[in-house]
Amino acid sequence: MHGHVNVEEFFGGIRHFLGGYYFFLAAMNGLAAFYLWRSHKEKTWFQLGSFKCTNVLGWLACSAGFTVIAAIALGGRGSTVWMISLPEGLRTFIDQKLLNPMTYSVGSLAILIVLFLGRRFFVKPAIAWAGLNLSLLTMGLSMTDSDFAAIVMKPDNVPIVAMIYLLGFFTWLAAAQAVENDRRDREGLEPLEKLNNEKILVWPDLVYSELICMVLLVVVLLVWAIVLRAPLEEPASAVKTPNPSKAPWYFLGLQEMLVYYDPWMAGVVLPNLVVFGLMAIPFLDFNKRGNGYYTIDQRKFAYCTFQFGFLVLWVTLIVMGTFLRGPNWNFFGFYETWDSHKVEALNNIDLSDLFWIELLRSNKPEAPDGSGALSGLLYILLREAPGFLLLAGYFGALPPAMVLYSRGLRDMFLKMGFLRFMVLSNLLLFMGLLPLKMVFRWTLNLKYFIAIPEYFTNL
Amino acid sequence: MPATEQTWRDQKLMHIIFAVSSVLLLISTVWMLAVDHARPWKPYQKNARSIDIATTAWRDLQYQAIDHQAKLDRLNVALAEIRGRGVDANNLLEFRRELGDKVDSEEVGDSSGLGAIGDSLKAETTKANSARATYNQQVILVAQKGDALRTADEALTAASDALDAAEDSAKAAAQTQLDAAQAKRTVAQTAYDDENAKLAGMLDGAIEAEAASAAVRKRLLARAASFVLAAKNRMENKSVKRKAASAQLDVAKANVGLGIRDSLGPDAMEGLADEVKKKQTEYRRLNLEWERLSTT
Repeated sequence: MHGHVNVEEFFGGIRHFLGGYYFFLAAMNGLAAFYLWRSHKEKTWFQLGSFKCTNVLGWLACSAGFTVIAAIALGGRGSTVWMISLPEGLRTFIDQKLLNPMTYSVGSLAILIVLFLGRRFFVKPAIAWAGLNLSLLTMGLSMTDSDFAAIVMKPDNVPIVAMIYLLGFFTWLAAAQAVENDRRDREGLEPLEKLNNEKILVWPDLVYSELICMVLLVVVLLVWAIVLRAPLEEPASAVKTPNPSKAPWYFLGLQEMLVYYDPWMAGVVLPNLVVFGLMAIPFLDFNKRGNGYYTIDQRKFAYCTFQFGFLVLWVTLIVMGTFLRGPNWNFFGFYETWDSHKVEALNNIDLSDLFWIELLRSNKPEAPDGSGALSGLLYILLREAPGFLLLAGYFGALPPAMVLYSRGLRDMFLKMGFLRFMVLSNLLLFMGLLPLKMVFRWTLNLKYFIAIPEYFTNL
Repeated sequence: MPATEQTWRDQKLMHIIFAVSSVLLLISTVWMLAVDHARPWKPYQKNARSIDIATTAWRDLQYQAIDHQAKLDRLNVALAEIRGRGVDANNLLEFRRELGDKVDSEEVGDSSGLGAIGDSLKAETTKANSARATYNQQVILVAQKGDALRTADEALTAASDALDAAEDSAKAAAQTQLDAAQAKRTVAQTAYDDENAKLAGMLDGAIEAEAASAAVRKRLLARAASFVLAAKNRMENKSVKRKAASAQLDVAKANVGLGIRDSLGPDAMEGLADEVKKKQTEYRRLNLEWERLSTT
């Protein structure tokens, strides 16, 4: 799908789309400025002498800037393409030096931690709007790169890009209301949801709105189906498998997990534990606060656990699987050509190799020739003893240690009781097993904690 | 809360939005139908469908033609048979009687040759009947020849059986030789049994000597096995490192290919080539070590 194309030729091909895209951004900012001016929500950002720079002027300037970029894009001249592109050096740096599975995953986690810690700042509408503009501008500037455009504009992937923005919007909306409710709570006020509790009519206020939404949604779906053709390919053939072979987008997180775990673990045990954990939430949750309104401060543990599980362990894996995994399931940067000739060295070793060979400079225990089945099994258990001990300690010894050494978890243990706490802690430990295995893979080339290929059991 | 007619949203605005969205839906539906109708492969589909219809019609005509051809052949055979038959003299006389007084009239024309043609027809019919009779005789002759052939086959089978009988007699001669050899073997077996009986006495001494030897050998083998195991592990560990170096070499080589694809400058390409050389040197070193360990 990817390949080297002439930059000017490519730019000429997408100039109308890019022009429309930037005009849309300009209109979006113009409307925002108009809304702020009309609703008297004008605020001064800074003052230079007698000149006051307000939010209305700021977004108008932003709109003007996007209009200029739109004009350059519509011009379609090859000599101006650098003006609306990310610098080549920056793209190369991102692909070759910055982006790899480790920096992507750890970076995603770090960004979410920063967003969480600075949530009172980031949920401000002006900051969120600036972030939206910045991300859309970055995407627009990246569109002149044929490799980036090939991934993002693939009909399969367009809805995923849209969903990323929808996810960001709704996460921001919920966080903004939660931050506001937390502020009100600190001031002894009722949550926002309590203020607007006036009842309205089902018809027309609810059903009429729903009808209009339905009609508009059908219009959107029809136009989408007409403009972006369904990516149907030729009939499937057993002798010609696509490379990369990708699962549907919603299963790409699972497919990414297959890099680190065996299919029975990544495809069966972990997804079932996710479902089981979600079902167990009502029975594990002892916090009575935060019902019926958005809040973070009153449910920090639940909020952080959910956001880590959903955004880091699910959404970022889907994004990685969709946009960053190319032929042979190799990792490719956003601006890198998807070339099936790229080679990655997969020199992974098991924990038993690390323990017996690297650490003890010895041999892995092996049953002598002619040994019976039981003797062979005992040798296997001895060989994999480091892995068994490690996991037994992880699941068996960590929960009591957490209770002993963490005051917060001790309080939870006292409120929840032994059984509920053990279920919760083991679910959390299973959740933590995935990022742990990813880190061990990247740092130690660890393949399996326990590797028993004789009985098709690897963990 | 008491019931009220006051709505939350402005109904006039809602009606306008609904009207606009409905018009949009109509336009997009018509657009969808138009696009669906004008899909680029439609003319090909239409053409293919007419080809299908024409082919089916031709195939139907072909089936009909086969039936008709068969019927035509049957009728031609029947016609030939009928034409080969003679004309009944009574029918001819009847025909002439019907002509009656009109025989010499101008309306009918000259009928003077009719009798001659009838005679000629009779002669030809006689010839045809004769030819048919000759054919039938030939059929009988062929059947007789077939019988003679079957008789010859039976004679051949009898000769083959006789031949088999002759082989059985040769077997009998071989059996005689076999019996003689068996007698010699019996003599040899007797000699062997005699010597074997002597061997049994020597067995106990040998077992004792072997037990002593086995104990020493076991100690020696255990010692040797520990050396072998250690050597094997050294070799396997080296093999793992060699495989890893090989994979790294593959990566470096692939990066050179990608560099050519990206038209990198001479410095960058030189750097990639140096990396290949470095990995190659490392791989060769490990490979030599592995070969030394695996052959010594």
